This record gives sequence, structure tokens and C-alpha cells, in this order.
Amino acid sequence: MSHLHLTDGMITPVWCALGYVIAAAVLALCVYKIRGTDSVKRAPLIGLISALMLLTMSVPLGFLPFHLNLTVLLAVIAGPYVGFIAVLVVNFILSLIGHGGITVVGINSLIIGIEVFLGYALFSLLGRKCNVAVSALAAVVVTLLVSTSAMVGTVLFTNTNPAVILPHEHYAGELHGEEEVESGLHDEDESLAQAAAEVKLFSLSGIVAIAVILLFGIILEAAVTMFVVSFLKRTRPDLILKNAHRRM
Amino acid sequence: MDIAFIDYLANTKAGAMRKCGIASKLFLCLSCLSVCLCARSLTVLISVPALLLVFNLISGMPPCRLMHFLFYPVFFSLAFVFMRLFSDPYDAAVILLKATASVLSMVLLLITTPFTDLFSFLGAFLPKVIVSSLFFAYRIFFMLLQKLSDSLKNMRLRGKFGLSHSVFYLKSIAGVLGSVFISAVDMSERMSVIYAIRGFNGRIYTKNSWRRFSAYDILPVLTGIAVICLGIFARPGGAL
Repeated sequence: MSHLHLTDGMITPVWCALGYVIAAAVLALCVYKIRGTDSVKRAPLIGLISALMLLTMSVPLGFLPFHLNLTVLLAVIAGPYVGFIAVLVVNFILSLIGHGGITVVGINSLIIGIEVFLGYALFSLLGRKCNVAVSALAAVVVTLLVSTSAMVGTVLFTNTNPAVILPHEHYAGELHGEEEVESGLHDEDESLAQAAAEVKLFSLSGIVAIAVILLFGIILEAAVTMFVVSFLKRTRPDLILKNAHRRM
Repeated sequence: MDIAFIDYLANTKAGAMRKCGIASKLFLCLSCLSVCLCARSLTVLISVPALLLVFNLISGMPPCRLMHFLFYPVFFSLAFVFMRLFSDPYDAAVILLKATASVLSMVLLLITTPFTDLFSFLGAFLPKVIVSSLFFAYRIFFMLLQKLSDSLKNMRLRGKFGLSHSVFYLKSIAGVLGSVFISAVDMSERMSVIYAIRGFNGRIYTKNSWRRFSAYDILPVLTGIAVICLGIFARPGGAL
């Protein structure tokens, strides 16, 4: 699961509604795909996977400001369709306690759903050729990078106003044009340009800091997933190996 | 995650908000949420969260715990602000206040309403597979939480909880999680059999007590209407 959850107010209501509609369509597809499962076993299994996702978030990691999610691992154990329904259930519960917004449950679920489907597909593909632990590691790293990029991309794409996305470059460009025409404002422009550069440096350092934190989180989750897969391979190989060689 | 603490507050504490029906509380929370999400006025974006804060404190939420809940939205909003997606300070403040209002309204709903009542209410609108999954997730989570807590206690007693050897620590955590996963899968299979014997057919039937209203419901309904009026009459960027 990506370590950034969109909060309320970041995405416009139209996009939130669209997110809900698409998530509902994917949910309907997932429910249709698992219709063959015994109805008595279906809800307990989804509940179990949701509870495990919530539980892994409760594992303390010392001073580190992270929580584990192990979405890919749980998708491997239960399959992508059950995994997506569980992601939706978990996102709904999390939104009630402020971990992601209630209006963006649809969008958050779709983005984290990428982890479920992509992680499962990568693990199934790599599991045929490599060691399952290495496959799990590679699947988690790639999947988390993709889902985090999707999260940032969604925010950029849904805020289409360039003045909101990149106001400083735009403003700096205007300043240079004015410099040529109005030489009397030269000193003021220089100070403004210096201030813009400072803001740019601050923003850049912010991006680097966030990127480092995210990268560290991805490495941590990938390592724990690899160790859990190794543990399960030794103790209950049927839980993971049945999916390592199965097509979606 | 504090889900256990919220459950404890919802089920053990008393107060006027806990005597209200879920429909009126939901009306209040959704009014606050929708007004804040549509607002651009700082008056609205400061006064509504302040009102919700008061309601939360009156309902028995400790301030320290509330700060913990507010940490998540503030952190995530700041993360996106730092990524320069909302670099205008006013936009950043609006995003932060909206996220804060959203959390305060949801936490107010949860600390005054047991999860089971909430899921029962949602059962009227959501597909049965989702509602049943919510009930099972809620039940299994607390069972596994106890198991995880015991396992971590064992790990600590055996000296495997130090951060000095990070790889060893991660391997130990993974071992604990792996054993919890195995017992959870076994438990799920046993639970399915037990529920099948009891006549479970894929749907959990609930009592629809949310349709009843009492005198206590007047407070959240009137407050919700007042918040909506505030949202309608407030001017963008300034006072009323």
C-alpha cells in the first residue's frame, strides 16, 4: 500500500465522484469474479484479509514514522479480486479515523488497487522463474513505486490549473518580461527573483525529503514482505506457492 | 491505529451525543464535512473545526489522542504541500483545514457510535458482501490484535525487540506476522464452518434501530443546520 493517502479537500468533488464510480465498477467486476466462491466463505475471507491489512499497520517499527501494509503479500495469499474488495473495506475504515479522506475513498482504493493487481501479476510472473522471496521483493518494490507515482500523478492531473501547480516558474517568467520593459523596477524584481529562488530551493529540499522517506518506506516494506514470504515458504508453502504458478 | 481505543470510547462512555440516533449524528458530521470541503472562507474553515473540536472534547476524547488522530491528515497534507503541488500558502492552509475538519467530524461520529451500529446503518445502502466483510473485519481484527500483542510481548521478553540489529529485528517482526497470518487463515476456515452450522448464508442481518428518533437528536440536527447556514452565507476569503 502506498504510504501517502490522499486527504479530503485535495481533489475536486467531480474527480471524487468519478473515483467512486470507477471504484464501484471495479468492485462489481471483483464481486462477479469471485461469485464461484462459496458465499459462506466469501465474507469471512474478505474480512480476514481486511483485518490483516489493518493489523499490519499496528505493528510498531520503533522510532520510524511508518506502518506496514503488506498489500501485495495479502493479494498473493487471497487473490487480486478478494484483495481489491479488502482494500476498499480497509480504506473505508481508515477514512473514518482520518487516514485518508472519506470523499477520496474511491480514488485511494483505485490507486492501492494497482498494488493488488500489479503485485499479484508480477509475483505470479516472477515466481515461475525466480525464488519466491526474491519475486516478492521485486514485486513489492516495483508495485510501490508505481502506486506512489500514480498517487502523485492523480493530484497533479486533477489540479489542472497551471497557476496552482507551478505558480513560481510562471511568475518568474513574467518577472523577466517586465524587467526588459520597466528598468525602474529592477531592484524590486531582483529581490522577488531571489525570494522565488529561495522558495524553489525550499520546495526542492521538501521533494527530496519526501522522496527519501518514501524510498525508505518502500525498502522497509519490501524487506518485511520478503522475510514473511520466506517464513511462509518454510512453514505453510501452500499459502503462497499455489498462487506463484497460477494465472490471473 | 487506535481502533481499539475508539471502540472503547464508543461503547463505554456516556453523554448526550451517544444517546442521539446515528442518522442525526451522520447528518451533523456530513454537514460539517460538506460545508468545509466546499468552503473557501477562512471563517468557515476555522469555526467549523473549532466547533467539532469542542464536540469531540465534550464527548470524552482526550486531547493527546485527538492530536494523534490529527497528525495523519496534517502529515499527508504537508507531504503534498512540500511536493509543491499546492505552493500558495493560502491554498496550503485551506487544504490543511479541510483535512482537519474531515478528521474531526469522522472521529466525532466514531467515538459516539459503536462500529456495529454504523455498519448496520450502512447495510441499508451498501452491497451485502461489503457490509458482511466490514462486520467480519471488525470481529477478526480484535481477535488478531490480541494474538499480535501477545506475540510481540513474547518477542520483547526474548530480547528480539532491539533496534541495534535492524535486519534481525525485521526478520523477527516478519516471523511474528507470518505466524499471525497462518493462524488467521486457519481461524477463517474454522469460522466459516461455525457460521455455516449456525445458518449463515453470506449475509449478516441487523436491527435497524437507526430509524428511531428522540429528543437528543435535536442538538446535532440544529447544529448541522447552523453549519449549513454558515457555509451558505460566508463570503470567500473573509468574514460573514
